[in-house]
Amino acid sequence: MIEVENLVKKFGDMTAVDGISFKVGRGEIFGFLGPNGAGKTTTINVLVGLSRPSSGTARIAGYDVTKDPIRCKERLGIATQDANFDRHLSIRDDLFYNGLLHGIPRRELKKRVDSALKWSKLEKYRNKRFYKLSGGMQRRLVVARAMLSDPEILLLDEPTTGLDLQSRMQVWESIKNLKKSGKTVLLTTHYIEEADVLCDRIAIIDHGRIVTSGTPDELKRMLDGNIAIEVTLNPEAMNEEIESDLNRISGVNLVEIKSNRIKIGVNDDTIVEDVLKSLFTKARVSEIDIIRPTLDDVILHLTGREIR
Amino acid sequence: MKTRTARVVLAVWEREMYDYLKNLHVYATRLVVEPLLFIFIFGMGLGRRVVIGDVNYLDFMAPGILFMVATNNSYQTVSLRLMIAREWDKTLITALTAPVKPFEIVLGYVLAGVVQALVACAVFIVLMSYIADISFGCIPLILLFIILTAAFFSSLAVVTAMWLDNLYQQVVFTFLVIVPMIFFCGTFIPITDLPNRVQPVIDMIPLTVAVQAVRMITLSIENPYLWQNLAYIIVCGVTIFSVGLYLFKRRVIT
Repeated sequence: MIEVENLVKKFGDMTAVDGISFKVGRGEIFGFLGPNGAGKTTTINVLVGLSRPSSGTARIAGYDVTKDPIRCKERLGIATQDANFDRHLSIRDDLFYNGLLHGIPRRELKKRVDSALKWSKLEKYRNKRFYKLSGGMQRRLVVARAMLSDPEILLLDEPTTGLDLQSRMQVWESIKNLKKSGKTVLLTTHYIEEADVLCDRIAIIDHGRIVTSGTPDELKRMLDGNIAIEVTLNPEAMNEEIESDLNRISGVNLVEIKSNRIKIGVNDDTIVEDVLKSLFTKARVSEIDIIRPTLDDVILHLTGREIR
Repeated sequence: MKTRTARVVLAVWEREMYDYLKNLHVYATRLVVEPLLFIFIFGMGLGRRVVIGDVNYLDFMAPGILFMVATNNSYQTVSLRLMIAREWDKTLITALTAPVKPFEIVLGYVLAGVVQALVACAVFIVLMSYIADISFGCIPLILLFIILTAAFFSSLAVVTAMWLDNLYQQVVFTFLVIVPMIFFCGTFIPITDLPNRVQPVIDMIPLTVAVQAVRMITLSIENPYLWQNLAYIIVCGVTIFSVGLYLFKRRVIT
């Protein structure tokens, strides 16, 4: 549904997007994960025709975004980062006039506006101006507006930025429901957990380049060699034999003992069982923690710094 | 015009008119009360003691005030709404993510400016006919001049809303350019009373052309250049609309 090839966007000397390529299939939730200023919003802006690419191509459902912008936008709904509503209009009126721009017939549009308000749980605020709503309500309204034209593809630009936990969970639930209804979603976020929970595939973007991409599990497996097992043993059971036994197991790359707690680093999931068997035969184990790499670890590994 | 284009233009126009009608009490204060004050103070007060040529000052001034109403209603409302949509509410971004073209959005705003000017001018003409017993003559022809002048100033509003950086600059521009233009384009005093060096510049402004042409209509003076006057305002309007559209694209689409 979305195909981007070698997309470059420059603003004067500054390169915001530096030759990225990716594809998003029908019904997929694709996440763009990266820090502020990584090029996520610029890419979205190119897709909706708010930015002209410096080079490269972007296609929506086979149509080129620069040559056939109307056909592309007919298939798109966008939830922008800012809650940009007309402050003179009630949220109901704003949705209505936005729907008119999408060419939805009036009678049908009135029904859709009501459904959008119901979906976003804002029915009782229909006559309020958007700035009277809380941050969470505004975000839900932005997503509801994006869905008003019932588009095939939704572009959600940082849909939960600045929200409290409860509001974030509500928006996540809404996005999961979009997937169930067969929508294709391109989601940008700088929340790692959000990408992990919602996305079928993720592209990690930094300095305008895609550093890597894959399913959340594939990305985490990039650091498979970094599984850590932390075990607490009965203090009397501690002896040097345990350490030497562990070091003899192939695939163990670290054994670190502090008092009655041992940290064992292994290369592979399959070795975890061997390690535990070895420990159980020698001592009474009172606590086991298996620590697998998270997306945070992957990003740190790939970009060399904490996400900004 | 394609159906989709017409639909989008009308959608933009309808939204602007909805806002206008909802806030009519606010606009009416500025746009009807202000010209009436001019008429009462300068026209009916001072004007009774002044004659220009062999024309009563109130009769001389009425077409000028009529075009002051047209200019204010088209320029000020469109420039303010567009600047707010661009800089403050950022609703232009939302609009452009719909399947629309910049041309259609701009045309919708210009159309709204023209209709708002027509409404205000119609109210003014009716009021003046009752209060000051002024006859405006050939109303359809006057309305045509109003439509074209309002289209020019709505397009100029697009230019300034896209060219200037913020509302403060817009206020300064209105004070330094639009207000003097309204005062010196034959509204209150004949162009011939202005310094010789300024006159050719003033003559080129479409507002001057419209005011003078309509004054000739209201005073029943034959105008051999009537169609040339209309054509000139159309050419200026199309030119300034094109500039506005160019600036709109440059400002909103990065």
